[in-house]
Amino acid sequence: MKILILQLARFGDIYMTWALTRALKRVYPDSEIHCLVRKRFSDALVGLDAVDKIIELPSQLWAESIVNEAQDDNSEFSNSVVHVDNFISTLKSENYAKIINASFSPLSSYLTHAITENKDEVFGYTRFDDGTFHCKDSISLYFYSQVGEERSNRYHVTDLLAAMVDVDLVGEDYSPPSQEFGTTHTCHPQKTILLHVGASQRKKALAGFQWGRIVKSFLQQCPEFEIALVGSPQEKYIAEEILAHNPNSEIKSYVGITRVPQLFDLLKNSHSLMACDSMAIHMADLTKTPCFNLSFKTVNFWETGPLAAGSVVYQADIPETINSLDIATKWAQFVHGENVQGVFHTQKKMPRFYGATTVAQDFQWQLLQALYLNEPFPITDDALFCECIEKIHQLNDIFIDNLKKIQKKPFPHGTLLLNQAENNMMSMGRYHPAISLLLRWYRGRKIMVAPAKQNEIINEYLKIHLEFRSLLKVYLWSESEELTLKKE
Amino acid sequence: MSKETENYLSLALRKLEMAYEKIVQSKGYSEESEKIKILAEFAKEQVENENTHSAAR
Repeated sequence: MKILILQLARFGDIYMTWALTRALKRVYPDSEIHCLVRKRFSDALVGLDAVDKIIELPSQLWAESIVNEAQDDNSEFSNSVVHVDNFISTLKSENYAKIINASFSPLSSYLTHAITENKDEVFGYTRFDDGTFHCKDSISLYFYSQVGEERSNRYHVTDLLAAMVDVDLVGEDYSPPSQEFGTTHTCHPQKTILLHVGASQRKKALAGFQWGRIVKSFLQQCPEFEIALVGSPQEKYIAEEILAHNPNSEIKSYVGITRVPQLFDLLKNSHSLMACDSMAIHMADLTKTPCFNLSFKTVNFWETGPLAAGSVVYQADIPETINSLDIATKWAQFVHGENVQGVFHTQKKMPRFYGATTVAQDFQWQLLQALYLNEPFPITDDALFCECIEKIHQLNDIFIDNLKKIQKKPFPHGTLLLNQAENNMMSMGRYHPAISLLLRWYRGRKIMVAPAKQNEIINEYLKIHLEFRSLLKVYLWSESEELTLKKE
Repeated sequence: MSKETENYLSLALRKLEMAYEKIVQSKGYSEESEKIKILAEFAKEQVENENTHSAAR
């Protein structure tokens, strides 16, 4: 049996797919696992024995071809289409028994649909036959609706990926490659702390002078430790600034001179890792190296934070407003094995972190669990939330009336009117994050409706709106007052 | 990615989207239009400097 995993995202995302890949090999030991990645990030599969074949997206060929053909005003991109066709045919010829799209991107959804022959064994984003977006399973629908920055999801991406394919992850799925990658740099497990100077995106990274201050203060508190800087060649300037701030300190820089897989060797022989949101965190999950993760509001650490036992997440608002002394002090407490206050700690059970959260955040998380896991609906005294519910309930009822009218007698511009009503309802999301969450659940339900004749779609939509109405009633003041009066 | 390459890709993206619309309008969504769409989405991601959607988008 052949299994294809599409992972067209970046280094960190590929490392987060390692545990899933190993779990699949464990569950299907006779399977042949192929992994489709971008060439630029294929180094992230080096050392993953569970993968039998690495397939690279022919990015350069496609890019050159479309750029050349775009010069012709009347181009129909016939050569580029041939390249895509060849690639699709090659993948189809493998006759994959399972196709797992772990990428969650539009490109991967179209590609998944194009190579799919057996529609029952597809996981993740794909397309209906009319090209509209299709989530093949409930987990990828949850991913689409509720996962990402500034959302309330608290499930880790690795757990979601495993749930999507319905496999359980075990401890051995998180392990580093068995081989060494031949780095000559030395680290000491009791002494060396790796510091990844960059991050997956600029908005998630600190400037060199900020790292410089943090490192200076940290080394004053922890002179027994040494720092080893790691990062890509493009991040060399950050390392130089850190070194300039700490001229007499014990800091080594391996930035720009270490290949990605060699980081495993360094992590395995280090005391711990200090990093913002980056691939190093996910590599540390595999080497089981404790991590002090400096995170920001632009990252949902619940989804991508460090999983190695003993790791912590320090959450600041934005990189520009960090308190370097506070970070250094907490980092020092962390390396000394003290109980660090005001951070989130890693735990084995889900959600993978615990720490102080606000009432509003907890309400949203409980609401998610109620919507998707049939947990009880949480109680709230939030007046704005309840007011929004009233409005949405009214709009939803108008929707139901119109759907019933169209059901009886289709009228011109019916779809247009429904679209307008839909937009009005969705716009309520901007008033309250919990309302936005609720509306994303509703929109997700509609996305699951397959292309069909208009009356069949109307029937399906009607069911969704009726279900939505019963759900909204939980938070309707008028309903709860009525219930109270009845009880009295 | 250089500004020049980005401009070339942006031009390609615009033309791919036009080609896609043209095919869909005349023949509906088909294997042919899907391939153009794949190229358009590919170009979009390349324009964003291979800044593809991360796992957590």
